Amino acid sequence: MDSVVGGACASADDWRAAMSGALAGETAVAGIGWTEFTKTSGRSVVDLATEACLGAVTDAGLAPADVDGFVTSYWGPGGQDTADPRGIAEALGAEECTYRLFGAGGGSAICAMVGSAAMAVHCGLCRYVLVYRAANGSSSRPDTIPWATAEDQWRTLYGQTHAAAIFGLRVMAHMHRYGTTSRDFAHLAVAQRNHALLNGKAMMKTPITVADHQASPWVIEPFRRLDCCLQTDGAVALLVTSTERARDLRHAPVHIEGFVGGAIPHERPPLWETNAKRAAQTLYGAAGVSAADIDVAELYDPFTGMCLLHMEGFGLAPEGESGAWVRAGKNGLDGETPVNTHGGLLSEGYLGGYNHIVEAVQQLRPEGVVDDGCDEHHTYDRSVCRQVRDAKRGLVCGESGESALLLRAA
Amino acid sequence: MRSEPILRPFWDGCADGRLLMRRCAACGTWQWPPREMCAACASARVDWTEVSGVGVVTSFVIVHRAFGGAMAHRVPYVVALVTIAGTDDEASILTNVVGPGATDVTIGDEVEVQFESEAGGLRVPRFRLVDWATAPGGAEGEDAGMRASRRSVGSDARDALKSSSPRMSEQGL
Repeated sequence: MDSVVGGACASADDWRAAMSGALAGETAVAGIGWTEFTKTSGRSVVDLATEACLGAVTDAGLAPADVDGFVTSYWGPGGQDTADPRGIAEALGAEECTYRLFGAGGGSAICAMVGSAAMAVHCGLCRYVLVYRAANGSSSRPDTIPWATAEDQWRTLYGQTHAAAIFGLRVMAHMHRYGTTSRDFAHLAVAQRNHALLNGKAMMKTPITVADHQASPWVIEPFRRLDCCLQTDGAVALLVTSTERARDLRHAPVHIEGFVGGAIPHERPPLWETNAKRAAQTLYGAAGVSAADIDVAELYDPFTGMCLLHMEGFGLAPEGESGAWVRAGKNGLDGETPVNTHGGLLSEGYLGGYNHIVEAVQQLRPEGVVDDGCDEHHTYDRSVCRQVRDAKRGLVCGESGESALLLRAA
Repeated sequence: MRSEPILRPFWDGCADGRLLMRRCAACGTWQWPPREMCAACASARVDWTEVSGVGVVTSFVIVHRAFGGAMAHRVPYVVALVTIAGTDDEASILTNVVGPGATDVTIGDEVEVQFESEAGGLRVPRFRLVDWATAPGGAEGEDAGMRASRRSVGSDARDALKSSSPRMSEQGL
């Protein structure tokens, strides 16, 4: 693999970093939108997606007819729980559609979907691409994930039919190796709930304590009910375009500094690690940054314990010490690296994880988040304000770090 | 799954009480779940090879709320990854730990295969705890307490479960 693309690249790692960095600063998120997050929407996923997409288009100061690319992703085969891009292009009255992507991969692929939109823009195929995710995840959720691959057929036989039973193996191995405990998970759940209380669109409106967490029933050990993410009806959307075009739009662009998408098999040892370690290497390498340069991180949190693994994989917390890191409050809004500032999938809502990206964009805009308790200017009073101070660079990741995104303030 | 030709030797082995896993004839790399090609050397010569049926628990979860699947009527049940002895820690199989003490399992526990007859005549390989079978007093003995104390999540929480409804309304599960 060495030097196959020219003298500038000494190794496969360098080559990957160069690819990830090719988009650096050239593309941006210029619009964001969302619907109400509810338990029962009473609306179709097409209507939900349309509302969120319109919100993103309007936020950017554009008209729906300007959009020429549509990207979303769903659970996997048999689980097309979001609206088809063809239907959204029709619903929005798009005059031209030069790129659509209906991707699979559940929560693992989210940042790669944004990256795909950025590539379509960067190569000149599209001018404005909507990346969206709609779901009636609460009101019409399938009982089991519809497994369909050769590996997954074994899962049904042994009752490994829920994501908690797959990712729980990783987390249990981490607990055994490093002494991470259910109480560590509790501190994360409490911190994220506190963030959600400062978020107008968050589904969870009441505080919880460590004791509440410890008293909540097991779902799949090592996870209790309060370790598990919500199920949500609603939609979110992002508008991706070139930085050049974004400069003429309503909001300051949030630059797409780099992204990665990839995967390793679930059960490949060591179990307590995820793809995040490799993703971080590529992503940070391409941007010339380190974990210390991340001002705010929105990390996939289907279960508390997975979020801890992601904190370690991306170098925010030392290896094996994410539990102590969270107990010390270093993931708080004024902590070392604020994590899941909107409440995360645990307490804001679950829209495949795309709501993480919306939050990162909000945090990195000059005006900051618009749906906390502050009126005009952010006060950083943590009884009303969830804006992170001086947030310039944001990290987002999907499940197991199988996709990740670096965003930078204008 | 059960009609896939590649898996027939596996199920035939189970019917005879023998556990077979996949190993590359060219480079010796173990493979699971079964696939047609060796991922290490790209050889198509991957053979079914009998293994000991004894192994060590690499990780596990305890399913209290089932979401379908063949074990749904057996909650709480244990889903485990077991690394098979004699394979240089290379061959791991996704399975269940069943039988006495199963829900007190911990990482590193020794387990051995047993074949459970299921509807349709299939015999499914699941594993039981080796220590539990031989420990004096079984589930009531000292080993049970020691085992529980080695676990990161204690049994106090399991007591809490008994007094709580398993319905996951608030969190949507």
